[in-house]
Amino acid sequence: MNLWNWLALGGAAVMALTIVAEIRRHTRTSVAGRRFFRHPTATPGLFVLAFFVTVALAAPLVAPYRPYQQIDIDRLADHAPSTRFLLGTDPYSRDVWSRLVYGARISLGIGALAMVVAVTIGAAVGAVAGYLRRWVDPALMRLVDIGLAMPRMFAMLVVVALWEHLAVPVFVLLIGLTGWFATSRLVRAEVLSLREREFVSAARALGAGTGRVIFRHVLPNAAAPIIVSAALGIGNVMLLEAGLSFLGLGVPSPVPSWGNMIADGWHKMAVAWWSSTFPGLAISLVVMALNAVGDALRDALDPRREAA
Amino acid sequence: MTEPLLRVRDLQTYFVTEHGSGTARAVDGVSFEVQPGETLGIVGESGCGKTVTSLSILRLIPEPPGHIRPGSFIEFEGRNLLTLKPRELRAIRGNQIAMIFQEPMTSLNPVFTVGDQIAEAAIVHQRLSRRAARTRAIEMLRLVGIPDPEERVDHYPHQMSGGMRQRVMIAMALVCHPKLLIADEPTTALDVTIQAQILELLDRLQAELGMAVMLITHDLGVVAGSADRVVVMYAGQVVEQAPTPALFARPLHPYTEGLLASVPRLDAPPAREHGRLHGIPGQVPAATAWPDGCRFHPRCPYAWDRCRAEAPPLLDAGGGGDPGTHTVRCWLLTDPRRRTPHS
Amino acid sequence: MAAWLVRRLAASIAIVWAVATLTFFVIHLARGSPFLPEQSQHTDLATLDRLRREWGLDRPLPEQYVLYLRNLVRGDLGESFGLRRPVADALADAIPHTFTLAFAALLIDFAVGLALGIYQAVRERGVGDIVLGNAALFVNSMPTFWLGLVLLLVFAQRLHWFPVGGPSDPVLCPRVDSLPCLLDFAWHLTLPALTLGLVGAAGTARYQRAAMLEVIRQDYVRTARAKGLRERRVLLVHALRNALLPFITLVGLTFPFLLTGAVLVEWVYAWPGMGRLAVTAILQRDYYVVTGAALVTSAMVVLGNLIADVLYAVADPRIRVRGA
Repeated sequence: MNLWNWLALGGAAVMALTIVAEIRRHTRTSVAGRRFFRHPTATPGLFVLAFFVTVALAAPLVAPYRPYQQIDIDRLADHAPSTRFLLGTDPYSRDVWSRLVYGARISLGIGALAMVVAVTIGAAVGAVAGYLRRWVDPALMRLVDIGLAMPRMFAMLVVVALWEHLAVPVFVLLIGLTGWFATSRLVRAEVLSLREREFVSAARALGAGTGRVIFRHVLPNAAAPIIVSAALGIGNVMLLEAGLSFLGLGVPSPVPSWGNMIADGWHKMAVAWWSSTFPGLAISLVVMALNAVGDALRDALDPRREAA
Repeated sequence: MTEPLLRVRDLQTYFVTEHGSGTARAVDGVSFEVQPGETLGIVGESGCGKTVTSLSILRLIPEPPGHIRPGSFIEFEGRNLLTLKPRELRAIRGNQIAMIFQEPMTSLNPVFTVGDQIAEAAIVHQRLSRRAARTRAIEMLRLVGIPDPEERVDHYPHQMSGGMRQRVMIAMALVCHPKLLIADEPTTALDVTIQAQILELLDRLQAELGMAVMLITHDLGVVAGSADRVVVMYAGQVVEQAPTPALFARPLHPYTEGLLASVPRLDAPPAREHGRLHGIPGQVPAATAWPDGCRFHPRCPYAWDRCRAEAPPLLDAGGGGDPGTHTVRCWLLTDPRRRTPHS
Repeated sequence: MAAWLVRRLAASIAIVWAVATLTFFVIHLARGSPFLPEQSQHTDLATLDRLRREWGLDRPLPEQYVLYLRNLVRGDLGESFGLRRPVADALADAIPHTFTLAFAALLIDFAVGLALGIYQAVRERGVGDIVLGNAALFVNSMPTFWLGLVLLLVFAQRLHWFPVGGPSDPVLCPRVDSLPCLLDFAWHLTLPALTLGLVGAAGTARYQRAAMLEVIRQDYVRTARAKGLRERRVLLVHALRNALLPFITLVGLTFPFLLTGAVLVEWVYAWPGMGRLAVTAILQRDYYVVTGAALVTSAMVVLGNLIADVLYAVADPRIRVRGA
């Protein structure tokens, strides 16, 4: 780690703080904003997320080495953390810190993208089921029951077993496809209560077709469970991706993902604990931040909840 | 005059609000007494502090947001309830002083049978065996007029109608023959015909068991029929206090006047106020910001400068009988000529 | 109640059937036709012939589907080419290990989680609540396999308090047939069960804390206090009994979590359960094992949900006894 790296890292931290401060400033007037920040873990959670995203985006500035770079396989493999290697080197003499930072791009990126897929499908299905009722609702909900029957990990295992080599975009898509079921139930419940409201009758009286009513009028009002699902969903996806990558079934080495980094360092844990520990810590911190923010969002956006 | 059963002096119960709007002074210096065997009615709109008052007596106020201020004094049969140790307080709750609440559906535990919930008080306070307590529960169900009590005792609250649930609550409260029953809006959630039945039941039980009843309600009709004396509350304070006939015949506080005038009457002359119902203008103020001076002055048709500047104490209205029988918190008592409404 | 039970049972069977059908089509989509043995060099002709007949590999699709269902009902999940035995046999050996791991983890999860959740709710906003709440948040956010690695490192490799993996001592206790061997099994089971159980417990604690807080605010809790009951009785009898209802719902949700976590934990601790079998099979391109394991897992999840629903109906008198 040279001076520029440290400066960049410091800059990232400052940037994250600024982002959080700006968010706080802009939401101070809204009731939801105040309720959100009343949670003591909300602000640190936002900061952690902002920090990791900033660091991931600024990876080339913050990382002293390239992520695939094997520095000196004979003498510098499994090197302990030092001033040169902030978090040590892994069994292939690659700088753990650099890989962690580039790995953030992969892990966070997959998390966000898969979540978008899952939440989009879940919201659409839930809204259609909740609004149309008749036979569409039971049919879609049976589909959800079926989807929930097989645990996500096993569904992914089946897919990986059958198709062997999955391109990363397909991998992301599939993770999303296996995870929309819970969101659809939440959105459906919200839509069921929303559809009785006057603004729906008003829209229909104006001649709006069913599709328009659902997607332009009802769904925006069902934003609360969608947003909360999204925040908590990223965490679940990240854990799933980490697990699959750890098993060697996800992101392929040498592309760094926090999950496969843990696998890389696994067998040297006894002598070089840092290779596996730091990626795991990173995952834990980010998921923890996501859970904290998700919880705070749930309280802030649900108008029916009274402050305990 | 006999020793009062319950004596409340200068009760102040405040709540800390979360949003930084300050302290809500829900009950701000309330004093009254309940004699043995009498029915005291406490009347007022929502937000006047009557429910908080009743919860404060048994110290059922949740402590973090709320607290009963030092300087408050609640005495039951000569013992200060506010300084009792937890164990002693528990011995009084459900045993000497019992309470029933407004919503019988949510006030009964949905996962236990009605019989279990009634018997529990007997088991805890009177050390009855389970079988004896169950027999007692059946007796109580019969006492409150529930048909087929031997069968009903094993029913769950959701299997009963609203009126029956309220009877169950009454049975639960009376199983240990308390000396004082606090009834917080016992009929508000019920249909009018059931209301009448419940009030009748309470009257009958009171006579049979010789207990005192504190009847809290916003409905003047309820109070007119059942109470011996009435306390009218507004903005956390007592504003008028009188025997029931006197209160209805000669209401002295403008708020009480307004309440009585608001009751629609079938025998009213048709062309009254352009045929409109009479209401008290304005709204109950927030407990975090009681008005200065007399708290009712913003809504009072007679208010003048003194009312805005100086808060009146409870003044004796005389009217025959012992001093303190009829008290009013209003400057009109010192200045009766002012009792002409502004246009 | 009985009618409801029959309907739920029928629905559960329908879901399992639907999952099996979906799996059939996915296999077909990926491989062109189920059980076309690519690894035929490992298998003898007799087995290949038998497979061709039993699964209708040269028949049209609808016939294959019917045979597929028939075989499933008979408990035939196909052939593992890597292990050279029927998939069902391999799974039958592995399932008890997964089951003991999941069960032990479940016990730890619920015992610790419930106690913590209740304690936190009662001491809301106190120091204990805040500290434990954040600790639970952290543990619940950890990857289970990472916790496993850390526990292995600390307690097995450094401190030598526990073995480094496997279900038992291979030399002394190849089978659990005596008390010392049972204890040896339990000793080997401890770390894996703790790994899976603690992460679950953290989630359970968070959930139960919220459920308990919700119940404590209810009117009937105030009524119980007004009756002069001890606070402990108010909380542990009146409140908890109601807070256990959402807990039962949680039981249904915990099954998928435990079965998923078992895959990773089994891998870390070399625990010979279904998950490890499936992952190994993937690496050996033995995919019928994987699909078989996935089907069995789905059936377990559906069964778990059914049990949870029945428990809930029994526990909540509003469902069990029909109202007026």
